[in-house]
Amino acid sequence: MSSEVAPPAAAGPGSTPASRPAGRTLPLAGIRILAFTHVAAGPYCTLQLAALGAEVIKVESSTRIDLWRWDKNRDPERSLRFIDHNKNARSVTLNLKTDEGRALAKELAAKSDVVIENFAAGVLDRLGLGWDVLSRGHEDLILVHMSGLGASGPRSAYVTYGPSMMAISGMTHLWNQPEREEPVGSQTSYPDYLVGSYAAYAIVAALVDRDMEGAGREIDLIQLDVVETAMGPAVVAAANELAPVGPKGNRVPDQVPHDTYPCAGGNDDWCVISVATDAEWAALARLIGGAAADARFASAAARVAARAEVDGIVGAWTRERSAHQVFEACQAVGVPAGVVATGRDLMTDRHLAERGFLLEMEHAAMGPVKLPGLAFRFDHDPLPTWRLGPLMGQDNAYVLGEVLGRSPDDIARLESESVVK
Amino acid sequence: MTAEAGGGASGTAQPPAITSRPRVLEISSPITAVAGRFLADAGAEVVKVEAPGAGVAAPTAGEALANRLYLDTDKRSITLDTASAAGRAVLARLAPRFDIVLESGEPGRLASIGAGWDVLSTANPGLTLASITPFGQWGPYSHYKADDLVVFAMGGMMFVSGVPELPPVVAPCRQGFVAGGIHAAMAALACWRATRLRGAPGEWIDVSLVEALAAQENTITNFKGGSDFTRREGSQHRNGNPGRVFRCKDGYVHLLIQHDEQVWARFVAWLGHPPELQGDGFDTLLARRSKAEIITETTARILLTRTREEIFDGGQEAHLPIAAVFSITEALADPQVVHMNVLERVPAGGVAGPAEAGYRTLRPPYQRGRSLPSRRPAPARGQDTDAVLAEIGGLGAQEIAQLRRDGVV
Repeated sequence: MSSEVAPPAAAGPGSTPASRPAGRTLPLAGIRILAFTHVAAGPYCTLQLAALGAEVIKVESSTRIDLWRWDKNRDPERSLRFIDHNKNARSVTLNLKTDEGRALAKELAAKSDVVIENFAAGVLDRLGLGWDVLSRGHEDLILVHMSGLGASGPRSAYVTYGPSMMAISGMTHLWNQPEREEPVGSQTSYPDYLVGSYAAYAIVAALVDRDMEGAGREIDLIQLDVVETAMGPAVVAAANELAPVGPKGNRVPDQVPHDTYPCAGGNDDWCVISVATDAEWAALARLIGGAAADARFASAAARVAARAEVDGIVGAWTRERSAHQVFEACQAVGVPAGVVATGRDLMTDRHLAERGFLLEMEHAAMGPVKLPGLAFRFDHDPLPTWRLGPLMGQDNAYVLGEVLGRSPDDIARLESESVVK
Repeated sequence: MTAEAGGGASGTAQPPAITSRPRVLEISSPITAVAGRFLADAGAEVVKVEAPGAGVAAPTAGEALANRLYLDTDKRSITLDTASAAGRAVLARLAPRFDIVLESGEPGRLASIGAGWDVLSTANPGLTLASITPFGQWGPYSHYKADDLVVFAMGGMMFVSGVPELPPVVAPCRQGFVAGGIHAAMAALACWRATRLRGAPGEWIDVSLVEALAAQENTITNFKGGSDFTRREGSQHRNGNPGRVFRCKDGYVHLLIQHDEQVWARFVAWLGHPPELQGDGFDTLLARRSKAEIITETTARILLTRTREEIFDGGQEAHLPIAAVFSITEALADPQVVHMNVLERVPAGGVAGPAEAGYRTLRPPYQRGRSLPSRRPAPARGQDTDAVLAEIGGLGAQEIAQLRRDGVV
């Protein structure tokens, strides 16, 4: 079983706020989400809702294992990314290839506020779990599909992943150094996270709509639409021809320095410095000394005109130091700067550790693990309690017994007949 | 079904559990403006508080105008000088009349101007305050300064972005602020809903932009000790082979062929069974890793002879995850995106300049299929000061006139 993590002790007096007052319920307590989701975007959505107090029941099956369970070691119970993205979810294993498995899924939907799925288009209908079926007698259901390009239109059936969304939306084209012609984008599946967190927001908003209008609805959340929204200002600039839209890299027209600079540790060691005001430049110039102190760089306009020269001076200074040294030295004098953090930097960061963002937990199969937390927390609950992502079928007894009211004998039969599998 | 007021499997008509949309005060910054955008998309009544003064005119052109149009459509704007005692007094009076307050000041700043959590929640126990800052409200870096560039770097997303021969590169359109804005909007809306449904007290939400990014992309869980962490590799995907951007006859395309053996077989057939990709060693994704170079070279050579359209549509006809690399302008003209109807027209009014006669902006993605009221054009700075101070703040006309004479509004 997954274990719970206790909040770490405060690192020093007054450094952590008061602990959670007894009896405070999380905002989405009482909401049940039934999730037919896999890989990143869907689980990242329900992870947010679970953190807000919703009960998330993940339907999975050993007959069709979530790809996210296949980490490098080829053991579905030993995937760090799975136990991270599925924190606080409950797992029930239903074999949807059987009639009774599908009937159980339908029963669960009838007892849920929200059903969310990221199957390929049409699969839910073919399983007999489409909107018409699930909403019959359950008019306040919210059913969320997360299709790539929508349910209709000339390219609606296209197969898309996070990186495809990045390419089609225009994000790959924009995410680049301006001097490089070939579009780069990113090796990441960033759109999956955008879509996942946006879907969680959309579900909260749809719950409000339901509570106001007395009816649920089917939401076709088109992933491409969400990615365009994340680039809203550029889309509006292009759609209204207000400004040229192209890759800008790390620079902005009116600020110097505002870039990534090399540090002493070579290609794994980079920092960023972003000077917004002349006062910040004066502080940085005092730190760097020498040529930086030249009065002709005092104004933003002058620095913009001499961008290459100023960046050269700053880069020569950063090259002599580690990114961490640059970061701390700059911040100590009020200059916005940062480490271009690696996975190791994040894992060992003192700030993230002290804030309890780095969760140190014990997993049944993997032993001690360290995972990230989430973007938000509450004043009354600064160090939230987490459960690791579930083992497969870990919550079968709860879901089939307590939620659906099946007897232990019946559950044993369902298992022996491979309905629960 | 749950015990919540909104639930009820019977389907019988019940009085609505919530009767009005939340009223949101956005203490304006490039960070809170994003959270306010998402709340406005959900129908909230959003009022922006901006700094007064001749030196800070509303943008009327270029990117700054595009920013304002996208972020501030549907919002109202008031100006208030929170550096003055009179302005602070107005803020302390006005803010508790809202359901949700969004702020992104340095931790402690809001309290120092007399509108901290204690003051707001005492005056209005149902109020939710979302504080959205680079590093969060407490911890060793909480007073450090950061913009989107710094946040994107500190959150671990920049290190894995870009080509190895150039410095790491930030994502377009301030994605750190976007991530923070989405999370703040969802958490604040959920808290507000709980206050309406069951009289729950409001919450103070601490959103850290760095944490929003650090939670994503497995950056942390992919670190396996020592120097074993993910490095930037251009567009090359960790599990794709081929899995990157390729040049074609008239542009660029993106391919992502992963573990599935049937997908691989279809891919090789679609390429025309090139001899380089025949024989042993191509059976599994793991095996193909050692053949990455020849797979990428062969793919690159063949794709150069085809057009982007041929590759996108032809590849997808073979059910392959292949995409065109579009600019935003090209994306907006794409038949599928046109069919999706992502843009809608906002009527004339609001901010001066080329958009005065109306403009096009994005429809909220989750509102697809719903008919919504006409959008309110992005406001000129301070356009709604008198109305908001009177209607929501309960200030008299004389009081407002005095504040205006004193330069407070």
